[in-house]
Amino acid sequence: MRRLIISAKLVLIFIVLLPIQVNADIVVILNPSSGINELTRLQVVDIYMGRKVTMPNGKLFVPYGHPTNSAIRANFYKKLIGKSAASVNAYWARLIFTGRASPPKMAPDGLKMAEIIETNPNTIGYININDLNDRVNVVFRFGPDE
Amino acid sequence: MLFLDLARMNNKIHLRVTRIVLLSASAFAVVVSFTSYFYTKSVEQKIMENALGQLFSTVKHPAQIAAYLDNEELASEVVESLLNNDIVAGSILTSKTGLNVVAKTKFTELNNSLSYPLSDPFTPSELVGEINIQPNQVLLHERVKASALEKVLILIIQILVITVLILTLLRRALTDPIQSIAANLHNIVPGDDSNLKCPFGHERDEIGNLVSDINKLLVSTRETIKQERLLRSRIESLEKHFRLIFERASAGIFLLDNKLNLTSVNQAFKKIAGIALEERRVKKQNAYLPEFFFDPDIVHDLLQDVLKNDKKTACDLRLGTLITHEERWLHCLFSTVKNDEGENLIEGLVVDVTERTFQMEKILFESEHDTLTKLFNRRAGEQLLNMMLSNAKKNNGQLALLLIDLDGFKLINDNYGHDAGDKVLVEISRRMQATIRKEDVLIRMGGDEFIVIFIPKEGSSDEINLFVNKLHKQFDAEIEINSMRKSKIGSSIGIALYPQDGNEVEELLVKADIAMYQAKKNGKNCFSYFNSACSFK
Repeated sequence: MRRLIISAKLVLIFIVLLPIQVNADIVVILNPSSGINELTRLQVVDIYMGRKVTMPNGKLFVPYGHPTNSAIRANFYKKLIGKSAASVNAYWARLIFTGRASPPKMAPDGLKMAEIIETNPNTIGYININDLNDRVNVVFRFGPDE
Repeated sequence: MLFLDLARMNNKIHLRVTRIVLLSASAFAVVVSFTSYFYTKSVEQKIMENALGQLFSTVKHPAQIAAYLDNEELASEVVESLLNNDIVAGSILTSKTGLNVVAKTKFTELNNSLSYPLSDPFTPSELVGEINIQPNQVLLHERVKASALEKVLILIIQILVITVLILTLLRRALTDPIQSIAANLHNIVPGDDSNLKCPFGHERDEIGNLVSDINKLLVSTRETIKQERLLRSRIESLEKHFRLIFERASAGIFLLDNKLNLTSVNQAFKKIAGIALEERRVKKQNAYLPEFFFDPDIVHDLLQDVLKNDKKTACDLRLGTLITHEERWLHCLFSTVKNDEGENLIEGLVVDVTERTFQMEKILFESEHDTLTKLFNRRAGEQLLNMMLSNAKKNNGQLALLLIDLDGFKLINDNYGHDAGDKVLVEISRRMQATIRKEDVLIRMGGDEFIVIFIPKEGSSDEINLFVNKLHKQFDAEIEINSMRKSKIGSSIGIALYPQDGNEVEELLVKADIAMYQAKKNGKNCFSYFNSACSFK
């Protein structure tokens, strides 16, 4: 019973903390081998909205995102381009039929995302600042009020 | 004929007005059509541009994305979808990064296209490309044309309707009533009693005014004509009277021009001067007046005087009768009149005074002559004596005054009565009258006393003696007193001579008387000169 109460308390805390988690800072990360230490917001937008942006080594950035209904994805796009997840979904849905463009590849969670970025030099991803490790480079971070 | 009718038709007011209305409305319609065409064109253009703008806004988002991503498929999807609209003739989507997607219908050149900028879908301040949309000019043109055509058609219909309306109304309101008035007026004879009738429904408008004014005019014309007629009839009757006076006047009336020719005469003149006219076979009136008188020169001078001096003259003139030598006397009154041109003419009034003249002559004769012997009486004799004496004095002539007294006349009177005496006197007078010459004068001084005034031609005593003897011998023959008895009577003659015996009538008479008594004293029946004894017995 006590365990039950504790777990309930935990759930409650989790629920209470959830918005804090959601609103937690998101950072854009790169493989350190990319040699890039910083990206502009426009570059980030271009990369994630399907424009072909090349890296200094001449290869294209391969963007990674989060699951379609994840809070961080919604949060990320909200912060980046001010659009809802639904708009972004619609955007990609339209583009998929042209056959020319494809949406960012998906990473199941933040840890997995960090792992992908760590291992693939041309990839770019975003994670909660909590999931950050020192094996990736933060090249863009949203301002505190964003 | 037809042409004439047409020309007349064209002059009708309602047709003329209608024609003007039609022409100006047509001109107006042309102007309106052109203006409307251009206006419609600009309006349609705007509408089209507006529509294009709306079209653009429907494709804006994918177009932005296509330009943003240089996505040719999306771009062609956008431009092709635009082309599905009939107002779009073609469109081009270009991106800054090199995409250039074109879609257009056949035969369309892309010019004057409308350009819409495409901003970055995520960073609106950034431009990623543009889309040019070419409006469908053919469609635009057709629409404008159709719209303009529709307007023109409506305008034409309106013009036609209005024209027909004007034609009908004008005709009903103006031409027809005027025509009926004109027809009525045509039938009205000036002066008759008919008036114009106002066409129904026009009593209070201009046509009604016109009719009432015409009627007023007709009434006043009628009045004037009536008055004129009255005046004319008065003048006619007056003229008749004057003509009557002129024609029927008992006095002859005539008018002479300034050449003294007759210009007009009345009946009385023809009657009075008839003989003279007939004798000269004057048919024409304009004959020279003085010719008709006994002494044309005198009459001519007289009339010229009248003409020149504007005189009035009255005188008795003898008519010149060529054949019958009948003595006709006219009392003439001449005066001048001026004709309209200001020339002096002569008007004459002539009365036949032959009877009166004869009576006057008779009275004159009787006053100067002895009723019994028809010789000059004493009064006339003395006048004659005075006259002849003054003539003789003037001409340095001579005069013999013979005073004759009958011897024993008292006895005849006493014995045989006064009738016998008268007979003696008449016979003696006749004989003496027959003896003396024309220039000599025989006067009965009264009773049995006579005077002879003898004018000697040579002035010799023989001439006078011869005459006295001749005179004295007249007494020698017997005088028949009545059928049974004859008688003889002597005479004593006393002679006084001018200038030898005196210068005055009285003196000569006295001296002749003295000489006569001397002759009586000398035994009667002899004659004696004043200054000598009885020279013959």
